[in-house]
Parts: sequence; structure tokens; C-alpha cells
Amino acid sequence: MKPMDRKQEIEARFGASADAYAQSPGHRGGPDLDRMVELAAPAPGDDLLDIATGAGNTALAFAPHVRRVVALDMADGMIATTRKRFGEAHLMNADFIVHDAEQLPFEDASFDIVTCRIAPHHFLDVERATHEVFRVLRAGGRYLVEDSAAPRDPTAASFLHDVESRRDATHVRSLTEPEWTALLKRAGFAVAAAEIFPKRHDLEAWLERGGIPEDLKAAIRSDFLAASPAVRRALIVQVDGAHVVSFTDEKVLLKAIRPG
Amino acid sequence: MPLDQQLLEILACPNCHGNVEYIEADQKIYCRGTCGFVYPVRDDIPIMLIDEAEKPQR
Repeated sequence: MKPMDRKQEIEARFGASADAYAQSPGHRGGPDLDRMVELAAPAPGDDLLDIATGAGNTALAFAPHVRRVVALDMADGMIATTRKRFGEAHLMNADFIVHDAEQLPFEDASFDIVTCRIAPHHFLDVERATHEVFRVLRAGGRYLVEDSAAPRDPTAASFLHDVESRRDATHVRSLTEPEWTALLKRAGFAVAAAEIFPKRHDLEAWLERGGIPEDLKAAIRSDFLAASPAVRRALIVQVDGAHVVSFTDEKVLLKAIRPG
Repeated sequence: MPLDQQLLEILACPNCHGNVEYIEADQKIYCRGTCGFVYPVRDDIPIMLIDEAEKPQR
């Protein structure tokens, strides 16, 4: 995919659904976001960068605890939504920039905390993005990253990757927790925490957020019904008669530190 | 509304990491490093995407 096509795809995918992401229970917050704030231990003098801010849920959660926030997203529509939500919350310590994650538009050592929540599986080059986070962090700075984790069972991982990719053309790849730890270490980080959060998805709401045609939704429903017992067990697929109610995957939350 | 001064201090060209200068009258951010790319500012939001930058004629 050419870069411009990719930008248009992201804008089409997320610009229009910003409100859905602002409202989505999984994205808006929960124990994982609370834990992210707790692990980051934000201080009143900290400068924070939130990469792929989406509808700004993470940036909004951190803003009251830090000196300033820079919220970055590739989709203009998402940034517009985030700025509006900061205004509504009367939080004035934020700046907004339209940009991607792979080449950050900042000087070296500009931030104390970098956050990135439920987004790296969209990145074309997560290795490069991770090195960029390292570059813009100050010594001792913390990188809090959370993303969908690929199941450790290879069959379940392959099934989930397939349905994710069809539901969302901007899905690139989810990593397992060990892959995340290895990636962070390669970039120079010390990994201070890695925690797993099961996340249950109501299938219909999950399909709806994808914004895909009805025939594709129907095909994905059928695939869940036809999945092998091993896959259904690994993803805790809940079925009511001939109707798939939900499945459960995992989020991995990591705290990485740029050594001083 | 001008862009925040503290933001401008840490902002760098994503392409060459050079210093940038914001010219409010133009609503543009100019790379003063090696590449000279020019980034638009729309509705007080810098659009730092390399694909959307104006590239100087060589």
C-alpha cells in the first residue's frame, strides 16, 4: 500500500468513527487504563506524549497528573475530536499534532512519559516506532504501551489475525507478550512490568466499530461459529444457539524505562 | 491563536530532525534543517505528515 493510500485508509477508518471510539467501553477506559496511569507514576512536572491518541482517552486520563500533554494522531478527525473533548473537560495543558508514529516530529529527549494504547497493531513498522519512542524520551523516562496481544496458541493467533484483518483493513499485526518484551529490549529499554488484561468483546459491537459491509460481517460471524474447538476455547467464544455473543482476547500492558 | 511556545521548542522536522520555524502569517512550519520541507498548520494543528509536506524544488 502506498503511503498516501494508507493515510486515506486510516482517515476513512478512524476519522468517521471517532465518536464510536470515544464511547467504546473498551477504549474509553477501565482497569487497564487505571493501571497504566498507576504504573507510569506521573509527576506534576512531567511532559507526556500520547501516540495514536485516537479519541484521546489516554491523553485525557493523564492530563490532570502532568505538566503538559502532546496528543498525536494520523487522522485529522480523531485529533479534532480529542481537542473538543479536552475543551469540554476544561483541560488546557495539551497540544495536538497530526502525525504518524514511525518518524516522530520532536527533538531527542523531549518527554518524561510516552504512552501508546491499543494502537501499535496498526503500525506498519512497530520496530522503528519503538526506537523513535526511545529517542524522544529523556533518561529515566517511561514508555507505557498497551496493545492487543496475539494468543500464544498459534491456531488461535492465526484465526484472530485473519478476522481482525478482514474487519479492519488497517490492522497490521498483534504481538505476543514475549515478542513485545524482546522488541522493547532491542530498542534499548529496560522492561519494568508486563501485565495481561483479558478483554471480552461483544461480537456485534466489535463488528459495528469496524464499519464493514453486512456481507463481510456475516462471513466473520460464520467463521466464529465454524472455528475449531481449540480456537473457541482459546478465545472463549460464547455462543447462544446459532448466534455468537462474544469472544475474549488479551491486552498486554508494558512499562519500559529508558535507562538513565 | 498562536502555537504554544513550549511545543515549538521541542518540535523538529520528522524527515531530517532539523529545527523548525513557525510563521503564523503563513500558517506554515518551515524546516530550517537540511530538507527544507514545509508543513501546513490547519485550525492551529500542525500537520507534520511527510506526505503532506511541500518539498522544495531541487
